[in-house]
Amino acid sequence: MLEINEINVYYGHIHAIVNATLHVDQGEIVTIIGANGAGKTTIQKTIMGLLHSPTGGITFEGEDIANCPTASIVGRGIALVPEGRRIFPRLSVADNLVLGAYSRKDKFVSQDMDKMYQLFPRLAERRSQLAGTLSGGEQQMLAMGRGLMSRPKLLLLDEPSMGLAPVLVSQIFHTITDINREGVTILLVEQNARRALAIANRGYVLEAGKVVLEGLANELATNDDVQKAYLGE
Amino acid sequence: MLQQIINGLALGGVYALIAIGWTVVFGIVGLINWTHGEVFMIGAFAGYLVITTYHVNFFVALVVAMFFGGLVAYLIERLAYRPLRTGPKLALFITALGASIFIRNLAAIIWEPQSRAYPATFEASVMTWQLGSTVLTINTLQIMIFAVTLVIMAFLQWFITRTMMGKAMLAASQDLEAVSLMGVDVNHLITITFWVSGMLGGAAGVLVGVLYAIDPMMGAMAGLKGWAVAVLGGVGSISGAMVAGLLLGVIENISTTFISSGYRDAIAFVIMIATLVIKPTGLMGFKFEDKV
Ligand SMILES: Nc1ncnc2c1ncn2[C@@H]1O[C@H](COP(=O)(O)OP(=O)(O)OP(=O)(O)O)[C@@H](O)[C@H]1O
Ligand SMILES: [Mg+2]
Repeated sequence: MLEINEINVYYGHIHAIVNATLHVDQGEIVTIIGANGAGKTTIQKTIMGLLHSPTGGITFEGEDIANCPTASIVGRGIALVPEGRRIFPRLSVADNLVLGAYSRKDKFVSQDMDKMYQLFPRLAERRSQLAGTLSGGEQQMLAMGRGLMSRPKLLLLDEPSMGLAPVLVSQIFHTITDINREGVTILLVEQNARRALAIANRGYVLEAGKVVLEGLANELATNDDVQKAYLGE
Repeated sequence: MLQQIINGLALGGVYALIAIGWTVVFGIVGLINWTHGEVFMIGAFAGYLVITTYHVNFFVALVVAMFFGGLVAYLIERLAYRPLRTGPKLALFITALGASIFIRNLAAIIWEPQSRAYPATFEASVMTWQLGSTVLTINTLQIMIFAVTLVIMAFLQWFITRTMMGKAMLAASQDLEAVSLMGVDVNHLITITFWVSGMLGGAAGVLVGVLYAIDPMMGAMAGLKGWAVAVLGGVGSISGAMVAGLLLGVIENISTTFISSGYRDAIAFVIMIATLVIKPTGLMGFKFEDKV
């Protein structure tokens, strides 16, 4: 579904992604794990066309998207729930969700809003409240709901569990599996490697911009190096 | 006092229009838009020229001025700002300043630098009211100007809260990159923003032309006051700019009864500096704590 081939991304002199190759198949949950500054966010931003690789290529459903503007990438069916949520604090919860459907032209938007309120009942109670007044966990739900409103085929999630209380973390990971079961393919970036590997089919380990290891999630979870570096055992 | 407040409201509405046009561009592009005053001047002249040459009524002139204000703002963005958008902020700042001086002087060459007044397009009658011991006089022009500003603001409010494009504009002033992740074409959004900003500036130009003399240099002070009002309202905040504009108009008028009217123009900047010192987020400034 998504093929990333030998990309390199730079911030000025910083070589943030080094010859990275990875792919995501239809229906999978794939996770990218790595320490702070490994380049996880950079990869997701590059997929969305917010950053560019002078080499290699990115294809989605067989079509080259490496040089597409972000709007057209969203239109093709990829959505990113960014690191730090990035909800619009001075818009209402409902308006945040509606904006998620900006690229859609069909008339089922309000129907999907109701679906989001079912998936995240906390948002339903707060639909006319300013998003900036929500708690951290609610903001994460809103960011995910907003991402889903574009009806993506592939959903990119950047550290959805960051800074959340343990109960909420479990809930968010449950929701991710639910979303995947509904047919949405997922590329999940996490520092919480244990939980990410527990729900993923496959995973990649990123170190200083390089993919150093890849494999089935359960294999990675039992790999000695991964256990030492990311699972604290 | 009540008389001063009434006098101040018409001008304050115009300040609000200028400031909203200024603040939407700042909110979304992060640009100190020096050319906004020039767009206002172009609006005033477009209105003047169309009234003197074609003898159209005020409302036609208003529409024409809004169109040219929007067009000029759009062209400035396309020609001067867009090529530099990803460049350093300082380059953009200097370009904006340069473009403003260029347009101002070009206008002075084309239209001659002297000031002129709109012909009286319709009767400006004066109404008087007796309120207890005070007599209020109201110029019908002031009422019309204030009404026009209110209609424009109401329309703008509808646009930003009820349409998808308007919501995207509001969102863009909070997080432009996140807006692009919603599938919004950011170039298109910025184009619309400059059109809206220019139309508001152009409208303000005509409204001022009805009350005061116009000249090619008039944009300089208007642009600065727009900035000051935007700061008072909280930069990027449209509702803040509305309130702050009205407030400045009223304060300016009241102050002329206490201090020399020669200092009138300075008041805006005293208020701006005071705002920056006392409450940098402005009247309507928002500050949400980062939630974890
Ligand atoms: N805007 C930027 N300018 C310069 N360098 C940057 C920028 N953004 C990221 N970097 C650098 O690129 C590298 C990769 O950053 P990235 O944000 O992709 O890491 P990450 O794996 O997402 O980290 P984290 O887990 O902390 O979110 C880091 O060394 C970082 O310092
Ligand atoms: Mg990151």
